Amino acid sequence: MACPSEWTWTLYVDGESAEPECLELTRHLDENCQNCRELVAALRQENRLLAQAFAEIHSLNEESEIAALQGKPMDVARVAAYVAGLAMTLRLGFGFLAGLRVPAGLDWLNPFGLKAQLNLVVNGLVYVVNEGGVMMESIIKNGGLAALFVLGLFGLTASLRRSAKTTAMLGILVLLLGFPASSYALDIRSGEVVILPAKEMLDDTLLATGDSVRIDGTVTGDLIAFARQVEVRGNVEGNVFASAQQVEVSGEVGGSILGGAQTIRVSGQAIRDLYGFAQSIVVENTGGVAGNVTIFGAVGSLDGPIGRDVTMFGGRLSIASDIGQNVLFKGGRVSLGVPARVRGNLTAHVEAENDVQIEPGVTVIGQTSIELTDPARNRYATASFYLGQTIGIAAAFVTGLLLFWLFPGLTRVKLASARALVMASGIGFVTVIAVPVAALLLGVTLIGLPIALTVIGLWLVGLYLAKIVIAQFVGKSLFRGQGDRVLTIAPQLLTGLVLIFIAINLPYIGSLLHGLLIVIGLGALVLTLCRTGKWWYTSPDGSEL
Amino acid sequence: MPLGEQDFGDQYERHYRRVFELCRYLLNSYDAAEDATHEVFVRAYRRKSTLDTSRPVSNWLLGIARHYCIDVLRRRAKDKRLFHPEAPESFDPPSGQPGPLVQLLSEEAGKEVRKALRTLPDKYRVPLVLAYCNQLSYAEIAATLGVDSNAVATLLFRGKQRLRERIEKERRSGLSQ
Repeated sequence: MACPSEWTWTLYVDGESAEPECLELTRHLDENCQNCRELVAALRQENRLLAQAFAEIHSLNEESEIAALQGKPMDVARVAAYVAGLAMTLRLGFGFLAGLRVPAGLDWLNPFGLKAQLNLVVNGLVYVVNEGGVMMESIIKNGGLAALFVLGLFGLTASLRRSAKTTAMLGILVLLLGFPASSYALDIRSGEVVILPAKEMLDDTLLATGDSVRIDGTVTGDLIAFARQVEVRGNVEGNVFASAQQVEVSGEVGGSILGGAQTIRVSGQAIRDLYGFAQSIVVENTGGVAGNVTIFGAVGSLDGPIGRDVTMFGGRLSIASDIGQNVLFKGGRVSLGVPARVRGNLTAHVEAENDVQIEPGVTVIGQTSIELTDPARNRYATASFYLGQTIGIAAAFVTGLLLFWLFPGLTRVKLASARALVMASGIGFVTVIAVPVAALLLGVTLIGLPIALTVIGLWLVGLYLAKIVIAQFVGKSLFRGQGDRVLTIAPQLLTGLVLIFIAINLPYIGSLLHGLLIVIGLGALVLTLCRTGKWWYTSPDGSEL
Repeated sequence: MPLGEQDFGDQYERHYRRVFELCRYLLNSYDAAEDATHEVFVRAYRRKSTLDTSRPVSNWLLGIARHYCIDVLRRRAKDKRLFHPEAPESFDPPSGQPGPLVQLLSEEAGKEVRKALRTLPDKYRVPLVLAYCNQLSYAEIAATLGVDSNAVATLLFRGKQRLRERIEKERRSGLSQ
């Protein structure tokens, strides 16, 4: 018999040769074929070596072998370096831009100035509200058509086989075909100039968008306006929600005024409250607010009577009118001029005593309290800062334990490579920006409003949980390779949270780190939910915690 | 008698590492092995009432792990015929290939083998793991992979050849440094 090939001997050594062939091969070995004997012995030794190589793995720590060959998955140090490097770069960039001197006349171009920021917010909102409905309809239409086409194709190819997938696809197809046209609960008017004429009464809530919105007539419901200029000369029996560059109320508002603008001017009457987020808020001496006035802004000027409390957080407040109850001010400077009269207490949190100016002849019936704030106070030197952080860590720890007990799959967040990290950052960034915009667009429809509110709620919860998820990843990564058995989640989570809270409170880059970690955490959370799809699994022994 | 909660917890403690190591070698990834091990024990927990406790629990768990990891590899692979060699029946290996491992290995044989094993593609690595880690026969490997015994023989033969080539290459690069 000629010497068999190595292939034949391999089957022989593995015991897989057919019996007649096996007998023949054994006879060949017995005939003292030295080459074949050596080959068979070597093949047997090879099998023993391979079996031994696997038997050894249970007694060795081979993490270094794995890391050496598997291209070093992203570890905590690299993630930290990536995040810190990005935060530092952003901080330096912002610092450079903020330090640039802009001519006074072009101050509106300065992205770090309040004027430009308010402009940006208002313009953005106006654009989205004006164009958003059209954008949304177009997306839905085109997306629906594309989905119909794809589903039709799948349905055609899968039509001979009935399966759960086919049934589900056909169900979605039916739903898409029956997709309802958009419907509105409000009276919506948009255009370059939106005017409600003086003799017109609108018995509904009005949503108005455009370049200029002017209400000369009567709106029995609320007025929701997004425009460059919003004027209420007539009567709004409900509330006024306005976002504009200028908001002027010279008529009467039966409810409250909530305005976000560069300038809010009230020369008419507001029966309830005024909430202003603006650079400048003025209540003229011909105007008045029967309820409270709350101002977040740079300049507040109250020349008309205010029925109840005045609260301002901002730069400068001047009062020259009758205030029904208390005044609380936190900011730069407050001045009370004749004929101002405060029927309650006056409390001012300012940096110096002479930041509170009360002219002779001004009456403060209650107590006048001036509390000096120390501008140079270092928060790191205060016990309250550490107490607050401890409470924050404890709250996040408890929330995290509950979260991972309910959804153990979320403990398997992975940022295993640079690519995964960048992807998580991108997805997180899009989620942070896109979700509130989508909710805003949904909110204008009848069926969309509760969905929009739910979406915003989930978005806010997601922002909070993002830090917890990233903390657990950090903690788990730090404890990895510490023995055969993975530690329970609690010490991992606590370690990660402490490190995260230290990072977000670092001077200079802490706030940027905070933002970046939320973005990355949210992106990782979304990726994990999409990747596993089974984040509700409980662990086999129920004792992962 | 089915496994109770406490018993299952004990089995988890006892066999986690072994299941994890098998998954790691089959999937060639630490992270994927973590996920797979978790999934294996979840599946085992769901099926714990069907376990015959007169037989070794480890074999049962490793069997679940094997099948799960093979499914993962199949899903991952673009070519669904992942474990089908090109021409199993007519396979006739050319001469001139490196000889058995014994001629190549140094004293750290196990480490060299494991290191080289991880560089093999799934197609060759998985049958080797099943044969030498799980001690399965050709027929058992064939049943697991969904191929015939001839294909298993070919994959194992080629896998060992590739392993030898990798080790020889590693050895040469080590000597030249």
